[in-house]
Amino acid sequence: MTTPLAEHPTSSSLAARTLESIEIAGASKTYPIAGAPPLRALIETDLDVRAGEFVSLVGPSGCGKTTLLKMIAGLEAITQGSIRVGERQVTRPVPSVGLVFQRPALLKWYTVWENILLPAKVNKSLNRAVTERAAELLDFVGLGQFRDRYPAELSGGMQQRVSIVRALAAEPSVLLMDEPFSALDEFTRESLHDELLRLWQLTPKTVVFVTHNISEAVYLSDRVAVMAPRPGRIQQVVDITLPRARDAAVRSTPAFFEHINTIRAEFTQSGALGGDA
Amino acid sequence: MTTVLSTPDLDQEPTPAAPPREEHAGADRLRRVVRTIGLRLVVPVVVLALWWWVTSRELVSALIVPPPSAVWQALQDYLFAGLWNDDLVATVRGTLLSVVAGLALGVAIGAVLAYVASVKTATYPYVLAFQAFPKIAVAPLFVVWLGYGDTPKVIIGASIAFFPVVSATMAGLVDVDADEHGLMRSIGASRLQELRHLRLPRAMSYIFPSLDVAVVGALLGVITVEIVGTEFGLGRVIAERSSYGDSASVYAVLVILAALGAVLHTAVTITRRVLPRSISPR
Repeated sequence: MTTPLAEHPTSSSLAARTLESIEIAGASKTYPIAGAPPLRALIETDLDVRAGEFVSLVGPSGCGKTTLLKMIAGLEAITQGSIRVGERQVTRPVPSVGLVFQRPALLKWYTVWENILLPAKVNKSLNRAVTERAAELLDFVGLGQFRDRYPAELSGGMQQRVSIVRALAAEPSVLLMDEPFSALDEFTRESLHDELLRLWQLTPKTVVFVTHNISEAVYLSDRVAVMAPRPGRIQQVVDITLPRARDAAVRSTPAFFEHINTIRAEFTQSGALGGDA
Repeated sequence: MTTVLSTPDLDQEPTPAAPPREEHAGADRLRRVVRTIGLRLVVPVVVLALWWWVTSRELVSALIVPPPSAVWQALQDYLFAGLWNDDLVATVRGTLLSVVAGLALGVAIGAVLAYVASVKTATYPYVLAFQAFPKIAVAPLFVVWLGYGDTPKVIIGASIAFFPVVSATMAGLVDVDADEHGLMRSIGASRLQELRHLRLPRAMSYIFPSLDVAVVGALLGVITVEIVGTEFGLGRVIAERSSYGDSASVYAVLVILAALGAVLHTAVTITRRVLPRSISPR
């Protein structure tokens, strides 16, 4: 159904634009609340994501992980501090940063193909290179023959694949993912993990991946930022030393569990697993 | 191994595969259609039978309930003989114009109310008050002012057809999914692009159902004005025939109106199906 990675042309249209790093310098987010002290969704936070790195933000609800992601995307104003993506100071959303949401957010009145090309169409950057790239990506995730279907005709896993292809077809240098697999069943999720890693190797990107699933974060990431709530903050950044080219076998290695335990210990220490998370 | 794991849910295709035996499927389908038609005919057959039974036993005066045969005779004498052509055409024209005017006004004003908060604050209570107002009560006034032509019909018809469309347009334009909104923002869509790709298609899925209500309202308004006074129209026929005590003809017109309502409803449904999904989402 899908083309094995080895057989895939490496000099394809999928070659990425230049990779960009993300520099988060003392960025914080505070929501004013009428008649109460302001809500500190995220205290002053520093984090540098190297170009081409895969970093996960993990934590319970209320730890500010989605807020931080939206600040990087330019969807959420930064109260204090600054975030840079490459050379650019983040002030607003830009097409070179791709977003994948928890729900596929496909427009039901457009076909799979129209949904995938929508970002390019909106940015008036629709050309042959983009359509070729989109077709190749769609084939790559095994949905080539579904391009003229409507989202409602696809399963949840297929819809989320389409939404990832949509984010990648716009040829972003940075991919931001907000709990993209949390609504999927375990089997679909694990297969999408592998697919995401294959896509990431095919078209290298700087990825920031938000999740509340520790093993998902360990499996996918180069580094995991462990976050804690009240106030939202990064507690610790854990390096994942598992070798790359990971596959399902990694999930049962002692090293994999060690990483999970390390992260779990961080949560226990920060009191984040106190109950109401 | 990645290739093996890549697409497990492709095995469960969302659309069922074609049944193995084509001719059996065809026969099944035919049986279902016949059954549906049979069930649909139960009510009219029972009504007709009761009607015929009541009138043949002369349980009620023929002035109140004429026998089915008399109504059929009236349809033959007037409708099929072409005597009501001008009236039928006038009613259909008035209704269609009312729907078009109500739809255009409803979408335009609904969009303004949805987008411009100050206009909504200033006018919405009065819009609601106007909606609660029984518009057919002013039909006699409009006929006096504007005469026996199409104008008073279209004003009353459109003013009834307008309201379901306004509320549907407002609700549809405001109802935006947070993630879809975030998506449009993240790809840098302008307000106009967001309207075109997100809000308008969503609003259309509200507006189409409201059209059904609008069509019925338009027909109601038009018939009312015609009963009050007009040169041509089925409402005029009802008023005229009632005054002669020609119940059979009145019933015949009611049958025509029922059929007309059904045709208009079907026309809306077909329009909705024929339009591309990007205009008429399903």
